[in-house]
Amino acid sequence: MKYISILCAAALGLSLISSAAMAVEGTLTIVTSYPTDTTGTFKKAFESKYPGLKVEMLKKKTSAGIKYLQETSDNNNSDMFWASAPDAFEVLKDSDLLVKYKSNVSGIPEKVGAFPINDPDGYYLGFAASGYGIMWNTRYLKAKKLLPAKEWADLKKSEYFGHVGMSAPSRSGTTHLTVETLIQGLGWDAGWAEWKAIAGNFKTVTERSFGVPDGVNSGNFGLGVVIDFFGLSSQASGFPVEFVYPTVTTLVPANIALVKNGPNPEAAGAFVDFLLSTQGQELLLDPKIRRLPVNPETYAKAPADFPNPFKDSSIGSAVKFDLALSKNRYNVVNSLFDVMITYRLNDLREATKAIQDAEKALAGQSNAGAKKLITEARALISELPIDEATANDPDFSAIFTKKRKKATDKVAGRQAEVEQKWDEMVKANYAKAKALAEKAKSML
Amino acid sequence: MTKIETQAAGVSIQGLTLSFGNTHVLKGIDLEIKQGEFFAFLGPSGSGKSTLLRAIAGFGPTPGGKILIGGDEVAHLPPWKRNVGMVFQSYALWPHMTVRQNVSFGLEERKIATPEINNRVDAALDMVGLLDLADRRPSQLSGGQQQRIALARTIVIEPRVLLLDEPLSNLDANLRVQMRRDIRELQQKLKLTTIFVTHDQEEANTISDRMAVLDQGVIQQIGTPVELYDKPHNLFVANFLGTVNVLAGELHETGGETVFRTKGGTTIPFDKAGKDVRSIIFRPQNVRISDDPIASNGNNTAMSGRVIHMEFLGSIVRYAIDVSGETILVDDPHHKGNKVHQVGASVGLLVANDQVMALGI
Amino acid sequence: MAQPISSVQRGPATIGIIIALFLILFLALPVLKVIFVAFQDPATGEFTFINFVDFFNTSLFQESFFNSFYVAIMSVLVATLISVPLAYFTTRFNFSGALIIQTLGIIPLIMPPFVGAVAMQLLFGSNGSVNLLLDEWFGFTIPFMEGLNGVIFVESIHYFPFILINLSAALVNIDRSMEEAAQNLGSSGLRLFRRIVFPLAMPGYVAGAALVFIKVFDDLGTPLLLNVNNMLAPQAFLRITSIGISDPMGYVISVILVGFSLLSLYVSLLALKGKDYATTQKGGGGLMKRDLRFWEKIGCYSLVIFILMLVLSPHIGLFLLSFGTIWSYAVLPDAYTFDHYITVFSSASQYITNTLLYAGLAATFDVILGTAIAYVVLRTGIRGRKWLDYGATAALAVPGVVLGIGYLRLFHSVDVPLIDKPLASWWVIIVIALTIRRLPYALRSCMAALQQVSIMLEEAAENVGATKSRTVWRIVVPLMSGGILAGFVTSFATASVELSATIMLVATESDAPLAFGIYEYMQSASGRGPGAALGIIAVLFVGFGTYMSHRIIERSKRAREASVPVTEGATP
Repeated sequence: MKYISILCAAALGLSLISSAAMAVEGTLTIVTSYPTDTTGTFKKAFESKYPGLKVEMLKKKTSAGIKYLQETSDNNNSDMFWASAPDAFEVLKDSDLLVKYKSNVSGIPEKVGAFPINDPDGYYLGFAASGYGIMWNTRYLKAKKLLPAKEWADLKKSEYFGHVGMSAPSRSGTTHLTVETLIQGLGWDAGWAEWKAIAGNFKTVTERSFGVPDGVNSGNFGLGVVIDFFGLSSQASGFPVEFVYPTVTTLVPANIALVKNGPNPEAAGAFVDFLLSTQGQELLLDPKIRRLPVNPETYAKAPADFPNPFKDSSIGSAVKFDLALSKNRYNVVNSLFDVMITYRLNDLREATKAIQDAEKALAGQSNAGAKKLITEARALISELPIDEATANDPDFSAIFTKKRKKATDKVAGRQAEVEQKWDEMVKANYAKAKALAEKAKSML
Repeated sequence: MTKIETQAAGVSIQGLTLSFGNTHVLKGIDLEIKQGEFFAFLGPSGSGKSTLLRAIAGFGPTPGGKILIGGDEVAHLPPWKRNVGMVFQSYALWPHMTVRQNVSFGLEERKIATPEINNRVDAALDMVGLLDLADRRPSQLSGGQQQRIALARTIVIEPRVLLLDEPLSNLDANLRVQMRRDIRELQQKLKLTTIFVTHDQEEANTISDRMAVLDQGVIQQIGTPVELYDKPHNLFVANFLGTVNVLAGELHETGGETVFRTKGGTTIPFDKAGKDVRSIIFRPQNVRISDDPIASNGNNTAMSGRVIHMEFLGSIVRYAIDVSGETILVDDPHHKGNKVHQVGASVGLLVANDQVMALGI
Repeated sequence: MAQPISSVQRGPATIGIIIALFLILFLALPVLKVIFVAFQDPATGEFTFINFVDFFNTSLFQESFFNSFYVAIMSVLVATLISVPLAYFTTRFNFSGALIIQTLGIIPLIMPPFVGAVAMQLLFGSNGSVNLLLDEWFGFTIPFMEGLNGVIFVESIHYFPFILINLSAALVNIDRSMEEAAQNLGSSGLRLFRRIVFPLAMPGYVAGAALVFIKVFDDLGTPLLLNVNNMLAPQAFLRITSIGISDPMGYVISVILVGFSLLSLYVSLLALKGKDYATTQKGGGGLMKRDLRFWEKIGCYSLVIFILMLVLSPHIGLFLLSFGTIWSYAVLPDAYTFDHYITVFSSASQYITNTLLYAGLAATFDVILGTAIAYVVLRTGIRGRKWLDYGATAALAVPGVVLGIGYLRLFHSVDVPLIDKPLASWWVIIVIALTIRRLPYALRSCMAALQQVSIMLEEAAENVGATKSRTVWRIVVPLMSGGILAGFVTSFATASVELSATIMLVATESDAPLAFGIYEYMQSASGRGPGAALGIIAVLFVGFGTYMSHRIIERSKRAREASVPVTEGATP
């Protein structure tokens, strides 16, 4: 009898506890692009705070995650989308797959760097900041007798030929931001010229964004264009790598949003609040996660050399990032990058190599003819198939999205057709640039 | 010990036809096999004899016509409902089962109680004399032993008819003779209606009560071995059951007497009033051979010719004699001291008239 | 003897129809659902071939097509170079390395994707162990892993077992008297090999080579990991999964991949038509064997060991990675630790149980379906029965991504009763995907096994009173057990490391299988070690399972040794 009454009391106690946390129980399904190090840490902390709740992390690459939510929207089973790139959230927002949420956690500023932390429309919220930079493998650079590149412009230098890796912007939302940031910072033509000059030094364009830190970590290539936490967490894991923010970079928030018609909106809200809470923000400092908290007060607990964008104004404030502009030409920029760089990397590298060789030969000599040829060759590489106005034209970018809302909607032109035209020009230009550079070299 | 007791049944086949696609393999078979009879299907390969046997067992394409076993129409029944036992040419023992498991299989499928199964399996194995090999696997047995197990596996289900598909062809010559006798003995003991398929006329002759000679999907003749040998209905049957001399020609009337004149010009008196005789046949052993020409008499027709070939076979000497451009085979019984005629020698032949048979074709 | 066409065909016919429906629902419809976009005008949504015109007018795609074709052909060649000596040694000489070679036949197949290429990069990459050593000692490096050559290198190491297995089987099945007859007529040495042995082994070789060609042509993982984009499969994948873009080109490429693979299957079938000599030869027993001379023995062993090392290199790399602390721009890891295994065992055991469940179920369904299809195709006269075989085999030609997306599209709006979840996010869909993807392997094994069971054995059972189904259960299945088990092992081993279709279908982390877990781990800097440890665990699990079933097959084979009485008359 005695035991039974104890059991009853215990059961009663349990039910009281669970009723206190009633709003948040069941299962919370989060579609996320984050690695287990990040998701596991938050899942554990969040579940121990809400014992009745089970968090399911559904790992998808950002692009695959969007695809998944789109494909499954008519019978949605996911509660949240949790990823870095704000533009991924913009795509979801445009597809009407998100639902507004306002957190009641206070102490989060409006902006980090030049970027607003939360979606002005209220569909997604920033919980951490990330910026792009350059990471390098110290052993690799030492063996190849190279110095680290600290600015984007450094990566153009001929000594880095074949030593640089980056992922394609069409594959990684954050890479896209980096590409766009530099273009906005330097202007459309100069920005692209800069990218192509850097890309001429590429060893590879990786399909996964993690392919870049992976390559640098293992020493497959020496330098990589990566998002900060990849560099910082690799360093924290013990790899002989270092990371730096170049001057022209932008800090962008990493975001979270509630998916429309999610099965467990209460738990989803609780998760957002948890992320923004003091406890959640401090978890970001974990060496395996290493993201910049959006709550300035959290930095008090950070290790000594941890970058603080709220104090160090050199990080991410050089460019004022125009989100609307970026969003408008999102697919055009991705497609341009793929056509000009990803898919024509070999041609680009051969042309670049030829130019670099010619320039090396020219050094210390004055040969106006050769110099002119080299300049021409550079111009050919830099030439763009479309101008900025076309790229920004919403009708033009519709070719790439062509989401026909109605069957009667018509879009002129097909992506494959447009890309083929671009490719024709790019390929011819690279070949010609290579020929010119070789001619210049032969004159020296 | 339990005894194997079969309820033998007769088999009646009426107008049976069967084809594989466009190939007509059986072209209207009519056949009555009596209860307890040992019956052989004899024919060359491709004659349809195996197909006919398999049709009785229920294998192969569905045939047209009727198959009655013990008066029951079975043509529409699947093999497992016919209760006819078949022994396959290659025995088809299941390699993954022991001898005992092989033999008991059919009884298990009939849901018979285990003790009863054991008794009957023992009886069957005992019957074929291999009870002590019950726990071996088929691969550990000799060909003859496998054959017996296949037989035991079949008779244990007490079939109404036993079908044997060239069961002796995989055995060596000595074993074959032994096995032939054993099978016959077993059949007699069980009084089992048995159908035996073979391409070997000696085998068919020695073992069967009656037989049917098949060629090209048609039964050429049915009868006892002696009937078929002595009175073949056609050239095929005559040839298939033994060596035979065939002389083509036609009947002639000479002075009220009918003679058969061969193409070579030899005439043989012919008293059987045939209507349309195109050829005559006689067996080589019905010709006598001698050094000198012999005169014809009332019972024998004389011919003369030249030896073109000679084979000494021990009990007989077989000669091929050229008689006016036609070759006649002669089997001369051999006794010690007999003269052997050499190739090239001129000889006289004497054919017994009553051994000459007429054929319409 | 013709096949028995019994009046009692209702059972097999029903089974055939059920299988056909299964294949239509889970193979044909999902694929059609995906590729119909390829026939849609992107602007108007009308039916059109304009996208195909675009495809053939686009130089990038022409190039990709050529590259895919080139890589597939070259991989077949390199795989042939690896396989022929191995197959030849085991069949021609009394070579005790047969076990090694059998191991070679399965090991490369049980390498989870992603990790293999990561490990290969560490060993053979431009700054991998081998090149670092070469550079230090001789001052040059070899670009093993660069561009198309890298793809060819990795693919041929991964897929050569298909040729090895088929070619060895063909050589073993050659009737010794064929060779003796040729020798008797004065042929010997290379001429004998070229004119008699090789033509007789040709069908086996062609079957294996066709499989390698298709697998390489459709393979996505390897080019992606080596960052080679100018091939068809990666182009399809990149275009289908790009953010926000819904370019039909990805689907056009899928159609072309499927079509081209089907074409190669068909061509290989044509090439094999009437050349299946296996059934016309009775004895088997393989070629004459002779002993090796001392130096020959050394030569053979060195070659076999060299190939073994090459084939095992991903496993060796993975092994080092799983125990290494940091491995960066160095010949070997800096130090060694057990930590990664501790991490994995404390947090990832569900991946292992999921994998055992999924791959086990899929392989079970595969052998059941395989046996049923083989039976319907080989033992009944049901009209159109061959299409079951073709249909199931066509799964080979469907890239995993296409199947995965097809399932999402088709089954997401189908709710499973009782559990109230869409079918597309229920774990069972993963099992179905694996079943479909691995069915061709199991089917081939089952077909071969059933072909070796004499029809007489079945007729004997029916004759003594067993119905068709009882015969199948008591005679056919036990006699096929070796082949069924072999099919199970191949399906199981390859299903446990499958990723391309499952990555689209895993709906919750708790449902994720091993390969997915490894992929997950490999996405973070600190996860590389645990990912490798998980990979090693996967290899061990599958390897152990394979070894055990191999033992069982051998034992059952030995139990009813060669002189099985029913080889003659076995062929209809």
